[in-house]
Amino acid sequence: MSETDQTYSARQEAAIVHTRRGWRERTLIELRKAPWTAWFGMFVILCYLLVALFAPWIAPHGEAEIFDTPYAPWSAQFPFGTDQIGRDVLSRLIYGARNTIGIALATTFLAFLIGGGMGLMAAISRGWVDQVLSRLVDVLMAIPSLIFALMLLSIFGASAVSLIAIIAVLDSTRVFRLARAVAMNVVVMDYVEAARLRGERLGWVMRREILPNIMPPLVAEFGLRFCFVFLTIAALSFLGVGIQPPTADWGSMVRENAALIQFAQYDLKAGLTPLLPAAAIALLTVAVNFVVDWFLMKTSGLRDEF
Amino acid sequence: MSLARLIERLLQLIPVLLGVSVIVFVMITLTPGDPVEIMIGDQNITAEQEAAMREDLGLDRPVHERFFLFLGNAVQGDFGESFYHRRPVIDVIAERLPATIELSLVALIIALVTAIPLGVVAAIKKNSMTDRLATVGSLLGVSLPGFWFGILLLMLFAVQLQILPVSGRIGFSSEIEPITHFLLIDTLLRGRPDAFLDALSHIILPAITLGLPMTAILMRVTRTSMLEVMRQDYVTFAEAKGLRRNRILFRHALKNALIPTVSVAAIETGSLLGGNMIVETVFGWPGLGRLVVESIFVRNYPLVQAAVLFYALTYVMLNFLADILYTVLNPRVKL
Repeated sequence: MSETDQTYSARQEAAIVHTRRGWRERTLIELRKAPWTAWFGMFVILCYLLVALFAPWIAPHGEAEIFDTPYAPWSAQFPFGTDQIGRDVLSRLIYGARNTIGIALATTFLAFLIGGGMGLMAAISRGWVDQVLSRLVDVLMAIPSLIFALMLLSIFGASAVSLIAIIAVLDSTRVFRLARAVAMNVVVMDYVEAARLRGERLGWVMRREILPNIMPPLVAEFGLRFCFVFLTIAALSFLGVGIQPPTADWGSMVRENAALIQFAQYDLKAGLTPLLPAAAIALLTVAVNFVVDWFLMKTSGLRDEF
Repeated sequence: MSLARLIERLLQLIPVLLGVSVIVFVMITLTPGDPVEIMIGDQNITAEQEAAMREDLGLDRPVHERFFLFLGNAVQGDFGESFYHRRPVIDVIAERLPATIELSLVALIIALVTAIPLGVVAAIKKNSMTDRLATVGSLLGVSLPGFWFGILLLMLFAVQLQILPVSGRIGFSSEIEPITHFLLIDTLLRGRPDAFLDALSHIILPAITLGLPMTAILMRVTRTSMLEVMRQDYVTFAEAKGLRRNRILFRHALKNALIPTVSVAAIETGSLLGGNMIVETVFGWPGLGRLVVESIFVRNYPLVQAAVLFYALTYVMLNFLADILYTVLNPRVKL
């Protein structure tokens, strides 16, 4: 037995300085441990955000600028050709990133604000508030959301604002269910009881006591909801009621250029054009999924694998 | 589950359906655009004729009266006349429904027969190449927009290779007298194998497109629950008894691992019905989904009301069924 083992003192151990790492350092350490899928996901998301932010500087032509030749083939001037009325496809893809991602992000935020807020409220108040909100959500969820969105859009008209509001409300039902379920577990904790007995107001209890404890599942859900909203908007645009022309967005671009597919046997590149915007959608969705998977595994150990 | 509990659960569905009908009715009343004007279009008709049309369609009455009329009739299965077809809504829907159900069922079958074996193999050979490929594949399955995958398939099989038809349910030359209105069954009943193959070639692409997201979800569920079950004591015990591996897998593990898969499949079938609007539009499939989309655009109120109620009814019933299936398959769970 060595000497050090015998000279153990509690005081010495207590004297070891525990360095408290700043959040930046902790983030860096976590990032270094991230799997390549998460890295890939973050890289893709970053690229998309940059493209979305700097669209006017990156795009070679204007969003709605019309050139003489519709359906022009791929060339140096038009890297992915032009669409049915002669707009540059690449430029519209770039502007599409801005419009589609912007609207999807705004929608998801709003959905979380509404659904999360209501869910927490239902979990804290219980009683009739919970009953009324839960039954309302049951009813809303029973109607297929795409049909619901179509009907609402035909009432309020298809503008970006109504698109965001409608999909946010419809999607907030799912957020409500999740927020309510996870908050239910936290609400019964003693420290929440203590805060309420202290006489803190409902908003304070929601924000300071409950929200921090239910963040991880909500953040993960945010990523997945974002993808879902993204696909819903694309589907609505594909049906012709989403983002309206001449604003570029990926869903309607697939529809507008779908006719090009029949030329695939003569010019493969032209046939590929309608697939580009959809590939852009798929790549972003996959990237977000990768990051969410990693985040879930890290924060809660929830994972498909064992 | 006791009978009383079952009835109680069924009764709980009523307020939901009532709520749905209120929402649908209110929304349709709020919709701008007068259906009578849309129907008239460019035709020249007198004010009296227009008033008569309005009265005929019941649009001249106050809102609350229209709602109770609608509700009272709906309970009796009468949803009024379709503004466009000038026929009872229920008939128009019944005409389109078989196409949608047939498509959904084929999609469900495709999803089940691909997802379960894939999920099981992925779980047994965890972290193998097959597992990785299946996981990435399922991720892509939920990430791809449905219409994109549909267009891709169309481009490859119908346009490039020209081995499958572009749209519709069946070719002109293969049309037959309907019996069940499910073409795949009818063609066989009529003894027309050539027509059966024709119908099959029409349904295969839309069914794959529709079934893809479901395949992805079911595969993930099967894989996870299979992994979970394989860690259970009774599986270890079966191994210790020296049972053969296949027997353990299929008789002991798979039977229990499929419980979540079955109930998720039941719930997802609801979204299959709701999500087929896109697929039906892409493939020109003459089903309910396309009818509803068209009806919303032309403000054919009675039809939209009936269709949404139908969707809601299907959704709550499938959820109910999923709950029951769960308790039947897993007797430890009490509702």
